[in-house]
Amino acid sequence: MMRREKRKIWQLPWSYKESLIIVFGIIIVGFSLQTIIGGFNFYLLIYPFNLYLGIIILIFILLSLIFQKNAFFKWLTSLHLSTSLLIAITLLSLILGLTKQDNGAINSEDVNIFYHLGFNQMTSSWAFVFIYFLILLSLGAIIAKRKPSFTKKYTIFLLNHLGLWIILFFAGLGYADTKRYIMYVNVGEIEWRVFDKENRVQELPIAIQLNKFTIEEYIPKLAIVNKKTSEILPKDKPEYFQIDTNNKKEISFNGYKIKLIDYIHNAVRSSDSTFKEVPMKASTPAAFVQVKTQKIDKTKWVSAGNSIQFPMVLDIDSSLAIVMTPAEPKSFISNIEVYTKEGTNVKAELRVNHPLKVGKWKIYQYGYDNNMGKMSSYSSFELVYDPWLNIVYVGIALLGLGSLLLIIFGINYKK
Amino acid sequence: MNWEYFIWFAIPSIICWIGASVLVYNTKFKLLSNLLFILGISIFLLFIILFWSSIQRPPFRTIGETRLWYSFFITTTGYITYRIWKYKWILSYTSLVAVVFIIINLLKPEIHSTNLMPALQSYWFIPHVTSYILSYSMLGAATIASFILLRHVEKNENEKKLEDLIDNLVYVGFGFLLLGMLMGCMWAKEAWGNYWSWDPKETWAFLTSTTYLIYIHTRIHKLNIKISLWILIIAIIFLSITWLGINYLPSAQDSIHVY
Repeated sequence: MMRREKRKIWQLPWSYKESLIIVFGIIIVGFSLQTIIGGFNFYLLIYPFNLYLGIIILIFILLSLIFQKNAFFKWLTSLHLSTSLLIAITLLSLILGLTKQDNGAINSEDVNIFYHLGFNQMTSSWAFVFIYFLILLSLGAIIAKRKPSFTKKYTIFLLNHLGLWIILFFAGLGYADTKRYIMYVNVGEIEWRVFDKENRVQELPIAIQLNKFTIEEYIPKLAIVNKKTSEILPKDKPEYFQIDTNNKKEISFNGYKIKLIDYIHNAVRSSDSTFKEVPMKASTPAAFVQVKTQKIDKTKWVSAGNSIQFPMVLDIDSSLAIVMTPAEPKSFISNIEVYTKEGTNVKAELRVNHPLKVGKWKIYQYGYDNNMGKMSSYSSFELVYDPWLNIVYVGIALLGLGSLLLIIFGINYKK
Repeated sequence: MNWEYFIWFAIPSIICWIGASVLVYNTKFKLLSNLLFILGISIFLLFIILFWSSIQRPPFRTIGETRLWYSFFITTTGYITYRIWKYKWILSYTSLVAVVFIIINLLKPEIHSTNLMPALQSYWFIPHVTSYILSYSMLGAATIASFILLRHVEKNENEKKLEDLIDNLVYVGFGFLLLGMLMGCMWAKEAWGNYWSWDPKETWAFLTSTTYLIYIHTRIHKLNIKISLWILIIAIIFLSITWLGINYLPSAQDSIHVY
């Protein structure tokens, strides 16, 4: 009679049990290390140290290719380990997704066991870094091991796995080499000093002159508020009346008949109760509104105001009033000139979603003085230097192509 | 055309879909049920087109608008899946999901006319959101099929064809999920200079996709199908948190994706 021997744990080849035990053992080591020496400092991986580590990873992958018959390397490239690593990274990300992350600033009451385990800075905790590193090794070895062939299956495998590996390799190891700064420039001035993440002032070999800063605003809305509670009506489902200059019909809104009589986008007070059009930065939208019920019939200018002009509301009765919502920015544009030490001089209109590349730097429209809105006296820019960006884009392109093929072929990709 | 007219399109669509879902089980009414289902999708699409042209911005901004697209895509996915795989229940269940989302939109629209802030004014906006909602529809359909398969597995019935259908929906859905994520990376880089910043929505999207990857890898390994199907169910929970739950997570209050 055949006797089937039950496989003992730790007997080669290793399976799910061993893989999961090892992966979670590594996580526990990571958490222990975290409580003793604190988080992992990614800036240790600044060039050329990331290069050294990268070479070590590549040598390791090469070794895995040479000794692919070895039981350890067989396990390293097994589906058991891949799946276990996916489970580990999912659980660590779950902690990351459930815990509020901070950038170092922490209140003393938040210091608890989870803080010591690094939950609040998950991506730079040792457990996360170890698993990330192990994924780089395992995924790299898996890609190297697979025999190339001109099949659909291999092409899709390669695009997806290699694409992901390139992204993880260069984004992770390259992180310390990226630089990002915020620069505040007053209108009409030139600036080359920037602030880093820790709010320290640095000087850059690049200067920006801000010639003009303009904000375009959306046409605001009207709403009815309860003056005591400042809640917008109806209570749980606030409703807004979008001002539409082409439509001056009377409409029913919250049980009141209201009608837009006039609207000025760039309005300035001309008397206690009237507005006129003045295209200047201190102007603010204003609407001439009529409200009617069986008892009342009132007309008045309504405006949300700004830091110079008082807001104007239309009192319906002692508890309710019609107000205008604060203007929301449609676009903000900085007219800038960029100078570099090498002597290049670039003029540009900088907008959100339209960064400017100057030499090694990319310049982004970052913000302005929110309290002053259109009257902001400065515009701020983010300057980013990322030497590994293009190769990460190669990874993104490969992965994108891989997912496109997955969409096209679906389950038939294996055939 | 504004949101108030929605009900006049939604109800005819619902009637068409429910009618088709019932008639499909009777072979005599096969053609009629096909026509009804397509009519339902067309009426729904007509509303989306008219709504889009009247609000003068792409309707991808609010949770309610994403639910609108979801209802459209899941019925379309359901219909295509039905035509290829011939499973009649897929029409009924995708209709049911679409109807639930329509009813939520009728009762709690969350569709306040929001202006597009500058960061959202990008050509990535429409493909990024569309790819995600398409993916959500397919993965939703895969979840429906996985519940059906789980019942067969409990009875020790072998359903290879149904397993293939689920795999297929997951592969294609995962492809769109990944594509949506990558387009999000490109967009984020243009808008903020960072292609990945572990924003809570990004984190949840990431762990949703790794959970689907776990499913895909356990399937390659031919692990016990029951375990794989349960992974799919966990994955759809993560997916729902990514899509609808982020707004309520305390860890996500500073997220740039809360809307």
